[in-house]
Amino acid sequence: MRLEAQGLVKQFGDAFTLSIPELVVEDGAAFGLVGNNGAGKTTFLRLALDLLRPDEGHVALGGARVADSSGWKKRTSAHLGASFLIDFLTPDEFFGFVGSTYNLSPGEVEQRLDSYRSFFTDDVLGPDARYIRDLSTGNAKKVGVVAALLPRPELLVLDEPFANLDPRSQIQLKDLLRRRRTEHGTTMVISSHDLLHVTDVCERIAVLDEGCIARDEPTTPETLDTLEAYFAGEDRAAAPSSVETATSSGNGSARPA
Amino acid sequence: MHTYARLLRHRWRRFQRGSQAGPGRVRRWILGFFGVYIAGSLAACGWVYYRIVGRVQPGTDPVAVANGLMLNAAVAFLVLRFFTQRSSSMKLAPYLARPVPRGAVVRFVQASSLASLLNVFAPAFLVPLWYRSVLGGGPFGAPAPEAWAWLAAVGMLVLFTHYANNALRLLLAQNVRAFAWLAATGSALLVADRVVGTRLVPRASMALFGGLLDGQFAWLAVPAGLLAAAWSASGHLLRRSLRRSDAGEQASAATVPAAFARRRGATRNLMLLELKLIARNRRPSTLVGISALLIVTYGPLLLVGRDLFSVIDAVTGLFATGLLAASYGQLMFAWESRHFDGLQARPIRPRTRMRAKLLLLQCGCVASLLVAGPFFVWLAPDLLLLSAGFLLYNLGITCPFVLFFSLWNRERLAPQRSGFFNYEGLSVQHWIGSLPVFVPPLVLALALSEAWLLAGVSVVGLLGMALGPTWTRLFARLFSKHRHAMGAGFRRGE
Repeated sequence: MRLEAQGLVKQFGDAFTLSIPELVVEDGAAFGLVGNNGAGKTTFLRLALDLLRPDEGHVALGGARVADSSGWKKRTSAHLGASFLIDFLTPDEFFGFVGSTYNLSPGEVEQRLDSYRSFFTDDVLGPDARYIRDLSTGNAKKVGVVAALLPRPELLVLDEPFANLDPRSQIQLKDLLRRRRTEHGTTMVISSHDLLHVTDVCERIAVLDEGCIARDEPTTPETLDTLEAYFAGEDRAAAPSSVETATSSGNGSARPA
Repeated sequence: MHTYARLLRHRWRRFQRGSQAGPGRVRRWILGFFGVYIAGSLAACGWVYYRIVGRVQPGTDPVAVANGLMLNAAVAFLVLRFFTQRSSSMKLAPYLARPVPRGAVVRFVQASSLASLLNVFAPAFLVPLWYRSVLGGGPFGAPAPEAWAWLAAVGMLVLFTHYANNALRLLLAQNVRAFAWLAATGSALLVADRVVGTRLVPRASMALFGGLLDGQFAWLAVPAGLLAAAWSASGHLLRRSLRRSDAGEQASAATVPAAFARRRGATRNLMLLELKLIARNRRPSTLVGISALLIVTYGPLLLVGRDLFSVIDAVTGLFATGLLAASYGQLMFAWESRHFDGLQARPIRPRTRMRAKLLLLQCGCVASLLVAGPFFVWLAPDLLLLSAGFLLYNLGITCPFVLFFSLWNRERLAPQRSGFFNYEGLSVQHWIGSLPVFVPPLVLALALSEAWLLAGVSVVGLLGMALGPTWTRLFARLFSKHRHAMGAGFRRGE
């Protein structure tokens, strides 16, 4: 499912402005978004899911502007943190509720959950499970991510999916995401602070810096080093002031207006 | 003093910054206007109180009437406070881990909790009443020292209701059983006093205030003792609540075994989600429980008071079936503020959401009648028909209205936390906001005979119910318009 942002501007007083003249994530691509705290990653994801109204421009999913239609919601699934969890439900109930909104029967939900059971340890699933609000932050994160994967969406949007997960779960999640993409061709937009994981999962990485896309390149074996140098400040001064254009992947582009 | 100054400064900043939030400003002005209007009306009523009594009960001493009613009024005022007054406007948690003396925090909260509209409304009525009817000069006036003692007793009684309310709310948050026992015993004693005919409360009231006006100043010890007891209880319970954490309270959360399923349909799944929200979160479950308690305890009090005011019939009919929907429904979207984004991003049609919410509120009205039914049958079977009429009114008018009103919810709630620490509690503002739906039928009750009133509210209610699909369509359109503002507001407190 293609994501396209055109002339997108969102301003929060005088303090912060997100400005993305053009950004396209092609169907089936895995797009990573990295940046420091407050760079605008979550703001962009919220704009993409019509949770925020842009001051200018628009986001289109599958060709339809998100603000003007809701058909894209059936084909999209997301986890942007605690506000995507219903914390007074048990994980099973939550999966059941999410499944029902995507028209999945309880049997289908159970069947799809089977492939994620190894992702959960402890007593997260089952009839004696605790409410989501009583789970550890990491387990709650797993519940949110699995709930986002459950409907097998055409577009998967995840904000910081690796945060708070133990090393084993991080590796499992990377594997899950890769399989999702190769087996089902899911388009993915993933924001993360974890440069290693995001470069492992995504074929294209954009750096969001103070509300603007400072770099946007296909992932190569050197990407991790380049990004680390960028965030260490070595490469920042030398970084081009305008947006770099994705070249070889052919999966997307970001250009200055 | 430095600690108090700092706490005061924080509180002032919170008020100032809260009041600068754009979308709520117009609403605040409207509510402010209603607040001033009500205070002004109460002051006018107090000013001409002796004339009103002269018209209603010619030849009676208005001060004696006031003396006899004062303790009953205090009980009613306490109940009113319990259901409408904010507990506290402070987030205490940040102070608890800092080197701020807890005693100072408790005393500050005790004192600052006095900032309530009800503490303006009560004096707005009582001071003019006292000045014109009790203090010298007038035909029923008393000498100055006695009149001042009377005013002091009234003032202490008002403060007693304030701190007793704080204590009751804290008790409810900490020990539901003890609260239920206390509330049930108190209500049973009051009903028994009236039904059996002992009338101890009005007699004690007459003795207390009459005694003060006769120069027996020792009677001042009674309201002073009540006030001291309420202050101590409130302080003690508040101090105890500072040591409690919200963790562990969830263990007692109720289970709702039903599961979400596609075959139920989206509307019923959303209703089930809301029921689970109510059952598993302290705040909404307390609110629903309190509404049921009010119907069970205060309803009979209203019923046995029918001989005093004819409009009581309408009040009873209206609130018995509408109170639950009105109190819960006004925060209909705020309840889901913690997972609002998640619901918004999922494929749930706004119209389905509106339908689910409206149906749930309507179910609440029917359930309220089932709770109140036995009391109607026992105490006033002739009111059953009128209550059925008001049920239709509440189904067709009250429910859509409160749902409409809740589209302006912008404040994030913490439903899993107890009411006292939850500064976003229901306030007088919410009740003032519901006046447009509750006042017209009460005005009709004053103007029309019971048969016409029954016909009027039933027809209007049925019309409202027939417009159900139109309401949901309209609200869905409004919801789509407000969705970003709601989400932004709910995210502010993250």
